[in-house]
Amino acid sequence: MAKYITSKVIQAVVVLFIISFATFMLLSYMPGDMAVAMAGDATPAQVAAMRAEMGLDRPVSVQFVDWLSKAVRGDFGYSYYYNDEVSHVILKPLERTMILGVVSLAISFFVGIFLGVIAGMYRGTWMDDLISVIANMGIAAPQFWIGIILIYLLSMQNGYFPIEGYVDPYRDFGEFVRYSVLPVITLSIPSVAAITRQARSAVLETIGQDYVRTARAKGLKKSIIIIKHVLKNAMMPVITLLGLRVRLVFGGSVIVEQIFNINGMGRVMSKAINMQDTNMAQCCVLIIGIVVIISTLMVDILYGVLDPRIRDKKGE
Amino acid sequence: MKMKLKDFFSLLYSRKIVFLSFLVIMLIILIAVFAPVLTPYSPYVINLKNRLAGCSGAHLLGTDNQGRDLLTRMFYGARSALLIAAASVMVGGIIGVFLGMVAGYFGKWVDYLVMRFTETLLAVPGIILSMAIMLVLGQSTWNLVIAIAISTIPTYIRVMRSQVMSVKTADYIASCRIQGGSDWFIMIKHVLPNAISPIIVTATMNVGNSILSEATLSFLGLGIPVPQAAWGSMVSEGFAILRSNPRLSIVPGIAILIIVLAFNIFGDGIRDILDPRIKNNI
Repeated sequence: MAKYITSKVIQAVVVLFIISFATFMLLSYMPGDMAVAMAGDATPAQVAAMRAEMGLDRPVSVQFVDWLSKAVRGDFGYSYYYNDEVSHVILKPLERTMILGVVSLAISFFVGIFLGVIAGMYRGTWMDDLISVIANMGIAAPQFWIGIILIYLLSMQNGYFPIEGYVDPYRDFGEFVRYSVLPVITLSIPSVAAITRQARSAVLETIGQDYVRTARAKGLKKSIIIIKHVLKNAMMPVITLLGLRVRLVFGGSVIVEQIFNINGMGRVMSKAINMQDTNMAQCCVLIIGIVVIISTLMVDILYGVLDPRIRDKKGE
Repeated sequence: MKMKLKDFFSLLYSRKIVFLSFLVIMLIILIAVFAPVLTPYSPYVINLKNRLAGCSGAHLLGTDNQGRDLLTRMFYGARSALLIAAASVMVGGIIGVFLGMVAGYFGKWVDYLVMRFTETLLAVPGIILSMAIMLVLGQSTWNLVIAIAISTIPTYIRVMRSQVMSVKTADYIASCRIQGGSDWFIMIKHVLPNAISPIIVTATMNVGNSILSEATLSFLGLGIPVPQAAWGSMVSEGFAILRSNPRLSIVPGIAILIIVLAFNIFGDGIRDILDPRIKNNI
């Protein structure tokens, strides 16, 4: 197991290196640069001076090596767009996105499993059909449109929830809930739908197994069979999917934060890419990469814990 | 192994919902192709006197903020959506199948490189990758295709690679090699045909996702250049005046929902038909 994890960690470092290198190259090949983007109606001489101050007049490879050598020491440089240290600017938006993202993943996990198990247990009934139709629609509906529909129906028509904005949970928890209901629903719907489908097919797959029939023949109650036998084995594909959803929740946050006007990572990142604020964009992409890779790694390890066969094989 | 086209369609017809989604797809394709014939209006001509008109006989879905007929723009939006989705599925498919094939066939360092490339693509949200690529390449239809295609590449690589690894050790491959078949000959002549069904399934599944990506990018203002009609940018234009004119945002969204739903159900159906193993399980 230890050997397996070590090799995975080395791979992760390689991938993170490629990510930051690729982002750096992409941003430097964008037409124009940060100095031009920020200059406004400055004279060419002023733009050149700004470029020199930001270090943009050096070769790209030198800039990258310089960035990398600082980044590995935890120094993510200065954001010229925000006029502050990147590591300082990024904290609040990161916190907002993480809170919304974690809540959304937790909701997706529980609601998805609940709906999937019900659909699987009552296969072929109207309940199964209804859940499957809703799940299919949840996957097919564009996320930005879901958000807009929710705003129209629940904020503009009825005024149940605020149209946009965000309040920190530690400042006023009640307001936090009121403000984040719609963004979290918007963020969760595709994941709930995907997990429902996965859970349903996993339940159907395990429900036909011999040990489930044995359990039923022993006269165990249906609820106990579902919880102890079916759910436990149906969990693995669901957990894998949950790991894959982490990346998509980050992607969704770009859209959700745009619609609900929340200053989170998604917005900071799209602004950084737009303004070619390389240091900021690099830091955002790297953080997302690290979170995604760690969650994938955790799924892998959890697999080993849940399934001894995999654990032993990987320990070789 | 080979399935007759007639059998394929009779299987398709036997599952009503899959057949229905097939019809919906066909209908939307027809609308997209014959858009100029179906409507007397131009999707581009601005008529500010007639802006935000309600539904009427002349304008079935009313007009938008600049007086353009909404239904006309919907038809032309179908064009952009289908064209870009089809092109990006093709581009992503060709690159992904090629990379997956060489990775699975040659193994070793080729495999290592391709797999790290895949993981890199999978560690960054697709929408952010596409955004960055659009900003680097500039806004045009072709660049949009590339930006969307890139995030679908990993799905093909994975499918193709595992297919290749499972046939690589087969006896007929070994015998072909003994007869002096070169690597590329074996890959194209023997490995690729064996993997064609899962590739078709993956491609069909990706059409829906590509339409969603296209819609999302154009919603964010990074889709095809503005005067052209795209469903995503139509939703975004309507969002500004959502309270007074919800119709402008809701209608294009419904179109996206329907077409993506149709492609997903059709993809599921094709998978069941081409890959009976999965069908028996579910």
